[in-house]
Amino acid sequence: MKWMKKLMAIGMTLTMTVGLFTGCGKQTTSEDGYADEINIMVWEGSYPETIFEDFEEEYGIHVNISYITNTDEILAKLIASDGKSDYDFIDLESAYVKPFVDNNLLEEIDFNNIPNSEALYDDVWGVVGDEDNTYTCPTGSHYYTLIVYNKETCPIEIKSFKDLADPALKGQICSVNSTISLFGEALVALGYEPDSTTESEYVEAADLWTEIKKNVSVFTGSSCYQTLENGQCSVALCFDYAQLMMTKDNWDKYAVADIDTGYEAYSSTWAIPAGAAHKKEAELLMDFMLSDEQYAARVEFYPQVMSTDGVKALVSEDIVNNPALNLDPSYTEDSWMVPVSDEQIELMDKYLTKFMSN
Amino acid sequence: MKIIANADYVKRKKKSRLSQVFMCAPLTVWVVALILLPLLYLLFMSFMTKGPMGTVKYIFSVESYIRILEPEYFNVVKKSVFIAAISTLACVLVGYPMAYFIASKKKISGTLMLMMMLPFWTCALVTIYSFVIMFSNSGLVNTFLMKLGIIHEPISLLYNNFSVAVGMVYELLPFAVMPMYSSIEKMDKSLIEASKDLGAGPVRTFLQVTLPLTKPGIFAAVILTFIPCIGYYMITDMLGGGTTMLIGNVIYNQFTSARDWPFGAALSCILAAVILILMYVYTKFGGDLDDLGA
Repeated sequence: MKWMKKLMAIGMTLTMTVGLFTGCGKQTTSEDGYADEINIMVWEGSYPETIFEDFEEEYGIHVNISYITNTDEILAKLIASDGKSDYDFIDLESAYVKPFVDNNLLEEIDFNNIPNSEALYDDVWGVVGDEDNTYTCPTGSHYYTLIVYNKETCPIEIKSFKDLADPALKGQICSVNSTISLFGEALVALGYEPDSTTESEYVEAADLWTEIKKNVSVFTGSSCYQTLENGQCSVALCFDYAQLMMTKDNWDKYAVADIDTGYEAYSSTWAIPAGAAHKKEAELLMDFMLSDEQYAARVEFYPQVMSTDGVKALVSEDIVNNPALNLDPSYTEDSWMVPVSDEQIELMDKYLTKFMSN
Repeated sequence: MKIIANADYVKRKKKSRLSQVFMCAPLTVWVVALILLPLLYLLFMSFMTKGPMGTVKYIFSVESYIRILEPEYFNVVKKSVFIAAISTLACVLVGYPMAYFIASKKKISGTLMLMMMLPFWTCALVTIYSFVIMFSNSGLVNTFLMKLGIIHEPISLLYNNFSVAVGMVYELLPFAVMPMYSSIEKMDKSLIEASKDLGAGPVRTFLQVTLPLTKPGIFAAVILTFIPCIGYYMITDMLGGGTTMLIGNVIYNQFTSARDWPFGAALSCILAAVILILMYVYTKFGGDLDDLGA
């Protein structure tokens, strides 16, 4: 019996030790020279899984997906990888492109391998920080962080961002929890630059948020629109207006507040982390996702602004006419986009903690 | 002869030690690789300096520990302790009668304990999200009450202290009930009978006999509930609407949006230190670490 116990103990020890190093295997390739699998890091809820299944069927490359809920998760993983990323493909929102490029965290993209990108409209190219389109490939979509309200239940007319602090809205607001959006909107409303690094301006922005927070029922990273739909809130500072408008009944029920200072805009890009092992396969996936059929599948799954003629011809009429995807230019012409810096991040964290702990 | 016997003894002892080493090896590998080393790394990281873009500069600094004392962060610590204390109190107050009831029903106590463990069978995230669905304005509770005519418009059940308290008690109650049940079950029941025979009423018997005898169980319940509660920000985020920032949120933010790993590590170390101090106090008051599962 004793020898059996010893044997079991040795076996378990070896299993655990080996288990710790699982995943450190060598890569394999398919017959056509592509790797058998790639690792990607993308936003949760942005892509239908069928895209990756179709990709595997077409090219024999299995896609291992890690979902993220904010870009900082990508940054944390890339920094930890120390230039040898385990990921081959990432979603990257425009605000982060400049710091990622400045810190050499991205590989150059060979657009010869992405012929479908030629169909993209001009306005999606050249995000701040990558004006030459060297490191990022547009996904074809851009978004706005908007104040959306229920026309029937919102007790006041919202004409400026500061109106969110009106006591009549107590418990009525759902807000995104992105620090960039929170401080960007507040700084602009106070007449400052959204990428300010002046501490006194953040003090004022935090004071404004302290007042607005009295009316906020929920801060959430996603699904703001659900709190409007289930009647929990009558106003939302959100980026999922298009999802709210997926239901046709909502088209006349909700509207965007026409504020005087403009809204935050951001576009979505794809990138390849520095040191990625499967650059060629990542470019192949980008090209695949920009094909009309797959682009249409993305839009049907997560409604977004369309930037090719081909996709517009393929999506349903409800998507084409979705009010969120056809915003009046008066809402978007004053929009602003901002690259984030370390100085901003430090100030944002300090003052976010301050107003959230009040 | 004596020398040979000694040599045999030494040989046997060596063999026995070797077998002990082998037997302990799996657990040792596990503990060292997945608990001890990460904790040491966390401690090391907390004394480093923040670099640009979330990087870490390997320069010794105590700045992160000093920063915890800044009012913004200190307020968060105070609030976390307050919420954890309230939730712990609620769990103990609800859990004690429950544990007493289960212990008193010997025939079905196993079934009752199993039922109480049911929340552990599913992912906590799923159960908390079910509360969001139940408590929302168009949720199950409001719809039911409105159908019955008890209310005419939805009442606010979500994103307030009520929903946070319900969520906390629901998730942490088993941690409180188990040690208290164990303590009540082990109690010598003849002492209660003796108390009654000597003329004490039920209240006096409870206060002077049952309660003191089950004190270790209550203390264990407090520790087991308070410790997870202090870092448990998921419930306040999902059911409280994320309008309150707890120490768990701040730590999470440091490793993500704030990009300050040394500060996040320092906060984590402080949290770990608080827990160790609590466990030390627990043992000093006669608590048994076995009751905590240690």
